[in-house]
Amino acid sequence: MRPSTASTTSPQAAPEQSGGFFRGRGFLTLLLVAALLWSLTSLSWGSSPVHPGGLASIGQFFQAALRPELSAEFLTLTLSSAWKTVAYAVAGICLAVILGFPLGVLASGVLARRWASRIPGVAAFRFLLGCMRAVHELIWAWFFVAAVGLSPAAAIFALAIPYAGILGRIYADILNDVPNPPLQALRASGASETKVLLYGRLPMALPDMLSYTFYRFECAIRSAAIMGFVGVGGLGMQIQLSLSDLYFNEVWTLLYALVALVLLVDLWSSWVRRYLTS
Amino acid sequence: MTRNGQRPYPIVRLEGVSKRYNGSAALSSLDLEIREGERVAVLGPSGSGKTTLLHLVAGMEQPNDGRVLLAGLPLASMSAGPKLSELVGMMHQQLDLVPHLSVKHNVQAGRLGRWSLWKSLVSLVSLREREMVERALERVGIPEKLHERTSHLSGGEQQRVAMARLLSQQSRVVLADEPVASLDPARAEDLMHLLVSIVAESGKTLIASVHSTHLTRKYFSRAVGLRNGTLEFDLPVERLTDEALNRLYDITPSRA
Repeated sequence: MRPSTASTTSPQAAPEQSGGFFRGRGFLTLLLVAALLWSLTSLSWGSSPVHPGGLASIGQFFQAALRPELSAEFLTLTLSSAWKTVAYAVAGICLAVILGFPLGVLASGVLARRWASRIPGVAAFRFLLGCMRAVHELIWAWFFVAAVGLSPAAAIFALAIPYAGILGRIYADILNDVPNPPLQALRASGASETKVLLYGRLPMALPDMLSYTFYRFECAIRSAAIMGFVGVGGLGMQIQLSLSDLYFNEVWTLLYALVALVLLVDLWSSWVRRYLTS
Repeated sequence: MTRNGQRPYPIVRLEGVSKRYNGSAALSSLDLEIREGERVAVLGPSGSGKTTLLHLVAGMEQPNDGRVLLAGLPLASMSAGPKLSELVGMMHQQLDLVPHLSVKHNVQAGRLGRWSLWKSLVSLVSLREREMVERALERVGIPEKLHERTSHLSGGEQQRVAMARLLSQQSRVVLADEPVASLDPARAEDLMHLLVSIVAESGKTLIASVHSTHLTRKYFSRAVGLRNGTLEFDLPVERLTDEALNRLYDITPSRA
């Protein structure tokens, strides 16, 4: 199950349009292709897209893919920085859930029964969530590194804030989209909106919310790795160090570790999602 | 019907009630009085205003004109909440249980109006008023389903859970919108019997929209016929004639 806000534009899901060419998919495709071509011509390419000597570098880089650095010393370093990245991601996503859940409930406006008392709160908290996620985690990271120095706290906060913004927004949407009749029945038995949230909305929304949180956890692993680029450690920092020394073999070891990590989380989360939806 | 112990006011009273949706009238100036302990079947073709009538009595919708009184008090003066839930409980055709919760939680939900927020929260983790929940499930004949997830139950079983929730709510008036519409005749009869005996045992009032005239004659004390939002007849079931029903559903055998 996916939250309804995740777009459902997969080609199989969309029904075939039968109304003429201009309303159909063909026209839209043509329009998008034209836009792409126009955007390519508007870039300044210089004489060639690849600078002199660049081709050789690319060759070296991809040759190194077959010979990743496998010395025990470097593998230990890879493992410990992978561990650090995972730790950042876990701590960051946990903090994001703790922040995002109450904000999401407030931004959904489900606790207010009347329209008039609902609008200002919804607008304010949606705006707050919007601000939190409008700024990329990397920029938050620079900000926090400047504020608290190169400590794990900087990485975790930098991750947690935009992710809380994303999670809160999606939680709010999921809570709003819960089918209404069971909620009406709870109200009819005298339940306040808070009790309706506890007894109706949350139980019905929880599978979708958890599933989306797991998806975001996957993204958090990648973000946590990138976070290393600002110097707080983890896979990203090692990748950057090896890259600037042109040790491509080391870069590949680290990249493989990152891929393995994301795949593992993906397996775990799909297992959990299957368990939740069955 | 027990005529002794009469209360000074009818439990449900509609005074010139009208309800319009986007300009078209669902009910027009309806007057109706229902005394405690009556079992009223609301009959009529689709779109005649049966569901609207039930929703107005449940306080789920407000009339455009006229007023609804419950136990002598105007419904408009009561906000939705504990007080209203002690007076009326409603069961819908679609049951409206929370499918992700276990049966026990759906039964407990009938008590939410009376419980504090804290008790409601705790009840999600550990069963409150266990005896009440078990008794209600026993009464509807599915005591073994206590811990089961509601979505895993069959349609008929879910119907029973909805009744158990009404039992735990203990409202004085029970409203039921087509409570057995989607079931086969034998099961429909079973469940109607169960619903009516639950209501009768505790001297509650039942108002239900019903399709079957057979069930109406067998289980109800009074029949109210609605057509285009107006009252077509209001009779004790013994005096409910086939002509009256034919007029209601506009079946004219002579014309054939």
